[in-house]
Amino acid sequence: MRELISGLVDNELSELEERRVHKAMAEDPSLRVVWERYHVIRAALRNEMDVPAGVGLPERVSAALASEPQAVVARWRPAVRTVGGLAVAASVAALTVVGIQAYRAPQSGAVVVAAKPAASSERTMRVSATRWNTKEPARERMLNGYLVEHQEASSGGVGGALPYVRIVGYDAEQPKQ
Amino acid sequence: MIRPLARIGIALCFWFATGAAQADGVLDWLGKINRAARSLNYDGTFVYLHSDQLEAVRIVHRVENGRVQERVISLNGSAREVVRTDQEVRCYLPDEKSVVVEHRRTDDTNFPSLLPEQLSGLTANYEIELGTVGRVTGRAAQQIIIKPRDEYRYGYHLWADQETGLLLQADLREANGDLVEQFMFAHVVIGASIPTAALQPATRDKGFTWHRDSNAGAMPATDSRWRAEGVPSGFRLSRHVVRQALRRNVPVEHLVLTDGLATVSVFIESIGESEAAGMLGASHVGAVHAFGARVDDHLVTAVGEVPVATVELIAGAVRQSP
Repeated sequence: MRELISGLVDNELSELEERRVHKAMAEDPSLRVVWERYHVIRAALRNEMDVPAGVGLPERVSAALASEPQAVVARWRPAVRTVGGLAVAASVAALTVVGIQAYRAPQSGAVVVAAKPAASSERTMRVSATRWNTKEPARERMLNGYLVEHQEASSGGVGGALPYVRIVGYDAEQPKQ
Repeated sequence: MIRPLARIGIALCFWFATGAAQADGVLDWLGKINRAARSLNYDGTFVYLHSDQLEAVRIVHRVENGRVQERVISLNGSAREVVRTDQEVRCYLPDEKSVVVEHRRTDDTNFPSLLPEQLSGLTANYEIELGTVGRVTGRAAQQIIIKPRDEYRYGYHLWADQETGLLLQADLREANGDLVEQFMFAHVVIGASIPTAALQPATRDKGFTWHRDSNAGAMPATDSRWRAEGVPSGFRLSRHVVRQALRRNVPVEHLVLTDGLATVSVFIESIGESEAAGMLGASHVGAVHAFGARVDDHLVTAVGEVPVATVELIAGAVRQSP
């Protein structure tokens, strides 16, 4: 089963195998811990740990599985495997958390998966969002300002045909701490 | 009867002639892409792919009496929005509940065009050739392949609308061919009239904080002692100004270096001992890399859509002349 979980993290499983792993993880909390650990290792190897996956992610996943198993499993399938014939490294975890609307309950501080994404406090969790890969808020703010000025200065070349995309594409969302 | 040697000579002449025509054709296409951005109305949705992120973005672009107005809206995540006129750029950032306004330079109220001499200078740093005619977003598109001659810049695979020259797809690739970043229109309407309402920001900015650059623009840094020397080949200084940093009340020197396609900005500001540590080293967002270096109590940051080695070299090449 551990091999299958590793395969899941690396996007190497068939649809049938994926379902098997999801089912096993829904039933066995220890397997979800394994899944999280593998994911963290994988993310660290790829240097994409902009936002730590955090403890509790497996619980959110399992809660989602319990409430709406088919829909969530469908979301887990790496649908965006190729774009224009090029392999896109879409990590399972990123796809998973992008699809799950979660919010933090104000009293307990526990993370709850929203049944309907309607509450004003809900937000989309993302592991690797479009943002500067720095953990220093001051540096990020500075680089954002520089980016606006740089885009403005570089509007002459080929880049000028598609200006300001990177600012708009820049996603400042991050999970609440 | 033509002697074999003469025959080879004639063949060579043809080869050179067609080669030159081919190069002209390619440069014409680059000029056409650049003109299209300055002269066409268009309204479309494109996707932007980088690392493992895929974003969808709407763009509305209108040209009236040679003046460009543009609205760019993120369609996923929070609704970040950029509204641009010939006077200012407004970035609406709902997550931060803020609007950042930058005044535009008066010297390029229009898009600067790629001049023919700039275009021919490109071939020193890039190998440029016409690719095939393909199809992008349902339209016939001419492919243009731009390969860097060294590892200090990215290559570009461009697809331009055959009819109008509008850039429909752009791939940024590393020198080894790996994809760095990709833009592609999924749907676009070209040439239709665009109502003014379509260019108004959709963001309700009630309660937002407005950050305006305090001075009405940048001043030429005529007496600056800062220089960038020994930068990767082909990069030349195109602009050197002093301005207030966006949203921060500190003066910043801004040097712009370009090789004709890629642009690198160098920002220089003075920095205290305590702030320095977190600001140094490399970061990136999409294909844009940044590198911070400390030079004489100043923070020097190079930012550009070039490989990390290039911003690192350029940041390291910045000195104060005595």
